[in-house]
Amino acid sequence: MNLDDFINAIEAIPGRGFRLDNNQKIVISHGDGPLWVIAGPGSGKTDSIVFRCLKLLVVDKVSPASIILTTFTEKAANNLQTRISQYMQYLIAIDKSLETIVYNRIRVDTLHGLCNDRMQEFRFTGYQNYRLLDDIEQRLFIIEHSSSTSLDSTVSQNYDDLWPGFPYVFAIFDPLTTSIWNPNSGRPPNRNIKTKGLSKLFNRIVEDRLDTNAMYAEGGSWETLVKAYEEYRNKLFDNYRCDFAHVQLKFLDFLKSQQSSLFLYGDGTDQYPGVKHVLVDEYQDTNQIQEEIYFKLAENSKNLCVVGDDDQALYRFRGGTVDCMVNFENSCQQKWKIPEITSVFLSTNYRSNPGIITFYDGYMRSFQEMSLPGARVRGKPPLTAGSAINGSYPPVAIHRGKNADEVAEFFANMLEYLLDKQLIHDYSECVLLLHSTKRSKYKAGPFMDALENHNIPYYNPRSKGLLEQEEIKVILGGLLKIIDPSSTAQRAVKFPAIREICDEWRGEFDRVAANNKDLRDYVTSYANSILRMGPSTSVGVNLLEIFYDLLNFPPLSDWIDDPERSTRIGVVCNVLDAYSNVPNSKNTKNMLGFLYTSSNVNQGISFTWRKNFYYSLLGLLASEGLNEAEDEIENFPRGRVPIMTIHQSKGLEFPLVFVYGLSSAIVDMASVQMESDFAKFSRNSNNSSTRFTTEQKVKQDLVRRFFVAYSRAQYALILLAKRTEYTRPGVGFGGDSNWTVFGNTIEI
Amino acid sequence: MDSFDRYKDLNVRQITTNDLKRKYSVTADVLSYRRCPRLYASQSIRSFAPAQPSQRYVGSMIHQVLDRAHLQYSGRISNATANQIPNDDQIRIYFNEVDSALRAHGIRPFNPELGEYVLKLLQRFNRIEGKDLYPRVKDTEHKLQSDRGRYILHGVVDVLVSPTGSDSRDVEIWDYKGTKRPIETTGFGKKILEDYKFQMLVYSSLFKMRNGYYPSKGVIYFLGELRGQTITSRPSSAVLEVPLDDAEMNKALQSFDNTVSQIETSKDTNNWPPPSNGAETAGRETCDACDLRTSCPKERNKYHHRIPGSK
Ligand code: SF4
Repeated sequence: MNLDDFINAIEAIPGRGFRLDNNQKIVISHGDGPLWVIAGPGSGKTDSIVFRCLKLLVVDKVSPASIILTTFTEKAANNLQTRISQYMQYLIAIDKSLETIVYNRIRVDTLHGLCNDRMQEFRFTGYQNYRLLDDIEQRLFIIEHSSSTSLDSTVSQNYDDLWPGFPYVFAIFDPLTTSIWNPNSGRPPNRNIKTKGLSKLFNRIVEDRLDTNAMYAEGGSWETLVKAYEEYRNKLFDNYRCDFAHVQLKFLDFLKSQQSSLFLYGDGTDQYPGVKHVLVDEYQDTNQIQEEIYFKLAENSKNLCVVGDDDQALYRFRGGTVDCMVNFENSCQQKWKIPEITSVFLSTNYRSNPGIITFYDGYMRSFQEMSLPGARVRGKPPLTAGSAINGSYPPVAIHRGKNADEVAEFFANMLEYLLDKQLIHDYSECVLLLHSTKRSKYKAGPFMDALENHNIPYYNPRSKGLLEQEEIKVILGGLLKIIDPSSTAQRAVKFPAIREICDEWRGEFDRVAANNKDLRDYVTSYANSILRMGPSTSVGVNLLEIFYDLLNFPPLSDWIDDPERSTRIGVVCNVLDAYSNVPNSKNTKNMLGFLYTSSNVNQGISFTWRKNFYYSLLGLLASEGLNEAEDEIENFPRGRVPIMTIHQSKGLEFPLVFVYGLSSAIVDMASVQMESDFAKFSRNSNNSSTRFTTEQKVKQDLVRRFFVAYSRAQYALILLAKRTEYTRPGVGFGGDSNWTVFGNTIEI
Repeated sequence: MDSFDRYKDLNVRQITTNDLKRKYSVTADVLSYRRCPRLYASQSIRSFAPAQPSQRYVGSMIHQVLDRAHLQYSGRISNATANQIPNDDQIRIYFNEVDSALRAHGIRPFNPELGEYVLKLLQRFNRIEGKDLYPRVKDTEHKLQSDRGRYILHGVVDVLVSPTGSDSRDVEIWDYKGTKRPIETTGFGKKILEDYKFQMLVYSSLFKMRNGYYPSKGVIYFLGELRGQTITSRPSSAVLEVPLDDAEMNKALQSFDNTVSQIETSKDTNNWPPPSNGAETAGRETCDACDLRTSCPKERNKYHHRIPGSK
């Protein structure tokens, strides 16, 4: 197929709704060399990147396995893969000869997935059989293994001067003590806060590619931080573990090693064709180490195509700074000596009602902070409307209510009205976007209450509410009654928050067990049997086995056949498994899931083990809560209104979007400050960390976040505000004090 | 409600759900579901973690050690000399490496003797088969997948072996099993053998879809047949050759499709019953290791509620 035939064919794909515009065509037909695509919201970005891949396969006859396509989440990767396969099947129907293209060998993945899978595929010796730790496992590992958090009093290494050096990660609100640690107190923060802060610092050191030698030479808390980091990294690797930051570092090592030559350069076969094209979606959230990986992957071919929108950067907390996107051209010049690269602006928006586009484009431009050099890609044109959505209803409207409850009631009423009048087909056509979806008074709580009162089903998997569920409390209560039957270790825990939540679980267990004699008797005899065991011996069952043993009795045995309850029980099972698989710091051949009795007679499970369990695992649960499991494939179920954080809504679109929290100033100060603080050790000269003040960066982050929220809407955007917000309107209201962008906004 | 009436002109186009495709594999999905839907649901749908992942020890150990042996021979392990058959000591080194790494995943042998037993099997395999087999290995852990329309079918072939050692299109697909060869005359043994054959047939079809031609045969190697000090050559029972017949392969794909439909029906109706004859279909070993056995409607009578410290 030649290029013209190809373009004609894809333009005729049914159901796509619009023809390709000229800029999209440039993206698709671009030949070799770097390609910089700055794609506004709703500009057909995903299809453009998919079509570009197809063009490489069909027109240029590039070997599928030589194309790497990465995106931000597994869901998004799945989506890209599905589109590739659907469109390919469509093309094959037109031209039978394309059948031989093994298109599913294109490597579509998240970057973490790519790193992990390629190192395994090519058996990189530095990464053989590592266990990849998620955030929870990483924190459990740190708390067990960092000598700064060890419960073992014989460990002398305390890193005492580390904590005051980085107040922005340690002087934070601690749900366990409901207070904020004071850096001038002369005392270290508690283990929970230490661990949380350390994980942020450690990840950042890796992701920002900091020069640890220079940090060490700086002395003081910098030197101590490097010591703590190196201790962590060594223990991590010694125990065949890797976190999400280090898997990228390992991958860089792999790419720089001899062992990657088959992967990078191939052997001339279709199975190992080397890397010929690298396409990166959502490039605005790329961090330094990722940028380095992409440039290394494309070093040979220079075929690096990056697609993203600087206005939609959201992930500073993962080290993602918009710099990589904004400075892509500079980076190509510096690293590859390529004087000029092809850049394309996709600025026709096919998603939203034109009134909504005018609104959010104006919103972005109303901020003086966004017009500073380096804040946005230079020369970015305004968004233009390409969708045919119209109607005489207000595309953007605002409702002001007396308080959160009233606003939530309005929201529920409106949903009811829309479905009742058949203006929407399904509740999932509306979304509520918030800064945090936690079920609490200031967050999603009032909305969840109002929807429940109206019997409107909702979907809020990240409400951190898993621990509130009956079955979870009963299981955890039962577990505690077996491992710490008289609460002796629990009473020794100094944080009331941990003790209280444990008491709540025990209480819930007692309530349910009162009507379930078998369960009650079993737990009692189980606990007694452990108490009767000799000192310092293996209990003979591990932590997870106790969990499973509990599931044998009603009502738990019935609950595991209930789809929702059992899925939630599965989450707890995995958390217990994560804890069980942390190597015991005293004897790394044993994992924490291995249970042994106390060295004193008839004391049951080792007191140290129990105490550790309360402080590390239960401390983590008590302070962070737990989210529900999410389907890897489906974004949200039909029939329910999704309640989402703005971050979660990235890349999605909804017919009706409700946004609440316009004056919220919840920002990730720690990341901004860390970035500025760390900048002097960065190896990257493009780093803009010093270009803007902290205040400017905080503001820019918030503006981008609201921009993402507003630009999800296709038909109508409805802003929800409390009356009090009008006296001191926050960033969500626009950039000038008259908030002129709201000038034409109708109040409903 | 007046203000809501402003929206009466709203005309939302119904979203056409662009369903993403799920992946189904021969062993982790289809065969597991056929063995016991209840166990499959807990492990794969609700992602319960097994309390004793030891069952995976033998299989993982064998695959990973042999993988290293193959890689060493092909010169793709750093510090390894290509075209050299590893000796017993090298196999032990690989064994120890894999052992520590498996521990990181919570996988350990039930007892140290089991570890030694597997090491012996591996060393024997290496001595008996290495010289002839390693030079013919074309690829290991060979990933195959195919778009079946509604879903993606995927599988991993342990080794691709070329009978001549040349680059010809004559390729055999090999699968290593850590067990003894199942006894054909028992009901369950027969069933297991059927499952293994099914697996090979599906892999061959996948292979054909990707490469345009069929493998010449499927070979299942039962390393458990190498037990016993005296064994110095390959016992005939160690190898099972699966003839790859076109019609059989189509039947296998068809039955794969059917099981996927059943899995999806189970999902829609949330109905995951254990097999009606319990362990007879699931296999006694599976039930013995099943974390949900004492609450299983079919098998609970055979198992006692566990109380640690008491018999
Ligand atoms: S005991 Fe056997 S039949 Fe019952 S659920 Fe477990 S595996 Fe299935």
